[in-house]
Amino acid sequence: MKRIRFMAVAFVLIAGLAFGAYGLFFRHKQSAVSAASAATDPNQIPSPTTMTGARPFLASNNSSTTYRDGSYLGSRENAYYGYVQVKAIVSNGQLSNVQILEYPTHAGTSRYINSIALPYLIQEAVQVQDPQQVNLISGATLSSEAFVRSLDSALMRASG
Amino acid sequence: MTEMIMGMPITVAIAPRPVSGSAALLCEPKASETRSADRLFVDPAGAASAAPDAARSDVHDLTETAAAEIVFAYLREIDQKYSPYKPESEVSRISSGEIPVDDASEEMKEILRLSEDTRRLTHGYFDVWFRGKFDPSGLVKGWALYRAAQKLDAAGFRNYCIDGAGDLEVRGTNGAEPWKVGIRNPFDPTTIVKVLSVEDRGIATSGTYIRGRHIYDPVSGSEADAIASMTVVAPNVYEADRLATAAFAMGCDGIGFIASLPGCDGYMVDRNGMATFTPGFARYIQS
Repeated sequence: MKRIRFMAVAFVLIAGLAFGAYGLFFRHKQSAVSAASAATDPNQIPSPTTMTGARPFLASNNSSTTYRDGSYLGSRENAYYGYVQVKAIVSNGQLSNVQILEYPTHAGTSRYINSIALPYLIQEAVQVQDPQQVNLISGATLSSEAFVRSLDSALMRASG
Repeated sequence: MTEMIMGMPITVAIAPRPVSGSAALLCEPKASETRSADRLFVDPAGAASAAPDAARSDVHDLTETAAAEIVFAYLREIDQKYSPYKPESEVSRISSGEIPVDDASEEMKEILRLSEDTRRLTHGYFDVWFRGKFDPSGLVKGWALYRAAQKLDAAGFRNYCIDGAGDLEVRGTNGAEPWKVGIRNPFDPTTIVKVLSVEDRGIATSGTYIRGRHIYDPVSGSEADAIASMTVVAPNVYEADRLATAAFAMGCDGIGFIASLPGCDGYMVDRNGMATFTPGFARYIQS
């Protein structure tokens, strides 16, 4: 019993130390990120909302459309490695939240804090560029299309 | 040349590849699309040459068509074996318990070893067992693309690229120039946010659902923690893919994780359009 109690106390102490250390490191990490090459060119576009050439991903991506308040289940869409289904929440006539009910998962989702090393990192504002100048493009997966289809169907129910 | 396999467009190209044709990569390619202008003859040493003497029977067929067929045939086999959505695949049969893990094929056991190695390296962020189901597709994709590249190497190709829906393996050069790789703008898929010059590397980008300025990330569960995309440049596409997947799931901590791995670099875009990258990533930057 004594050994178990010792282990329990030791665990609490170590956990407390680790938690405290994490708090310290997390604050440190924020300041360790350097803005060594931050954009100074006023012509660079800092915000995704001002990026030019964006075409609406959805026909319903129009903020002047109003919907009936409530929550609407989207269709269950095949994303090949799984299904995507969303629920659209409308308040005050506008889409206020999207809940992802189902999605393809390939990776675990455990929450592990690992911030012992404090790397030097560089920051910049992204700059939109012409894709014609490259041979290949690295981008994220196609499951976004299933997400869009599911959301579209939920919004159709909200406006029907 | 492009074909849809494993639910995604797989593109194989050999050097030299004209840049102006790349606009087609932004759209969903049609399966019947072929580019006869890209059919070139490349000698085994890798230097571009004139059309070889057709009478020589000892010259390997080093056309883009031949390269594409090597890759496509291999990936079709992989899909049969590893698709979690084909009930007869080995993956499905392991997931259902029909095949005990100890009785799995040698190749599957290798996948399981690589999965466990990845799980430990990423502190559990990458795990092929999720909610009781076995699904190694996050690892198999990069691994299979890398294996396909090794088959091209064995066949004598030296200067080529394989694009598996945005996961890239890039080898040699594009004629006299390095291969030019773009990073897709996570907020607008018709544009890019970076141009990289890359040789002998794997590149992968993980992302999530984005609509307008909103990021819907089922992993973090909270929009505040979510990042828009994580791009990893690594010695090969197997490394790049598994690390990009795990690093993305870590949110803002992911770029620090990549920075801690020798030989790997990353470029992370957050929900405000700010990018954070590792110092080593700077060597790839063209613009």
